[in-house]
Amino acid sequence: MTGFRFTVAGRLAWPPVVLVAFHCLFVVLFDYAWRTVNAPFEWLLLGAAVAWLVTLGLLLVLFRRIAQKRTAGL
Amino acid sequence: MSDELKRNATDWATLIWQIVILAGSVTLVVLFARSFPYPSPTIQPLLDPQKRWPVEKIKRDWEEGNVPAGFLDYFLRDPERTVPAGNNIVAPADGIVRAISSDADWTYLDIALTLWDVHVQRSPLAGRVLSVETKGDTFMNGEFKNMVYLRDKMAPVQKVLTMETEFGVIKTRLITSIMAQRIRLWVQEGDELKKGQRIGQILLGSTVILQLPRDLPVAVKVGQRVAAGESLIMEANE
Repeated sequence: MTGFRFTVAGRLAWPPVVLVAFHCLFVVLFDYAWRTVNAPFEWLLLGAAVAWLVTLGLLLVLFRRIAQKRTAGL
Repeated sequence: MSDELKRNATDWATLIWQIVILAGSVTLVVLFARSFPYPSPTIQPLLDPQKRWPVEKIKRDWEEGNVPAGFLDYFLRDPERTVPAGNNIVAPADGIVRAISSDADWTYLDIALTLWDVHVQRSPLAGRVLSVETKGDTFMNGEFKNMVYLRDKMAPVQKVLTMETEFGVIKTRLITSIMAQRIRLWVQEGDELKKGQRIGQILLGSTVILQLPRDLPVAVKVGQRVAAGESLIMEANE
C-alpha cells in the first residue's frame, strides 16, 4: 500500500483529477435527471445514491488495479 | 538527456490536460449553482422547451429586459400547417380552449396561448375582411374572465378582425397581455382570406377569441388543445 498521492513527477495524479471530474459530472447529471425523470424525488435520490456508490467503487477498484500493475511492472 | 526532456514534456502536457479537465468540471458546477433552480446552460439544449425556459424565469428575464435569444427564436417560430379541406372552421390560434360562452347572438371560443405555443394566428375559414379594429385600453395579465374582453372600457387591448364568410359574420379577437403589449396584423379591410392563412401574431403569451354566430355547433371542448389552421372548431353536416 503506497497511499493516496495528489502529485506524481511534477504533475497531478490522475485519481484525484478523475474523482473531481466524476463528482462535478454527477451533479450535472443528477440535475438533468431531476428535471426529466418522472419519479418521486426520494426515489430519484435513492437511485442516484446507489449509482454514485457503485461508480465510485468501480473507480477506486480501477485505480487500485492500475497502481498494482504499475508496481508489478517496476 | 533526450529521454528526460521527453518525459518532462509529457508531464507538462499531462498537467495541462489535467488542469483543463479540472477547470471544465468546476465550470459545470459553477454554471449549475448560478442557474439553480433553473436549468444550467449545460443541460438546457437537452430539455423540452417548457423545462428549458420555465415561465417564472422568462417572466423574470422579461422584467429585467434580458430575454434569452434562444427563447425569442423559439417563440417567433412559424411552422407550416396542413389546413384540412371541407366545409369546416379551423382554430385561429394554438393553445388550450379555456372557455366557451354564449350570449343572444354569439358563441365565444376563448383560446389561451401559453408561452410555448406558436403565436402566429390563422384565418379560421375563407372570407372577406370587413373591418380591422383596435379596441380596449389597458394591458391585463391574460387571466381575465366573464367576457371582460368584450368591454370597451378597461378592456385588454385587442385587434378585432371581422370577416364575412359562408357561415355569416365571424370575429377573431387577438388580445394582448402585460407581457405582450404588441399585436401584428397582416391583413386589412377588403382582403380576401383563405382558410388557414396567416393573419397576425401576438408577441408573447395571451388570448385569442373566436366569435361565431350562436347557431353554429362547436366541435371542441373546454380544456382541449388546438392548433391554428389545423384543429377543427366546427364541421358542417353534409
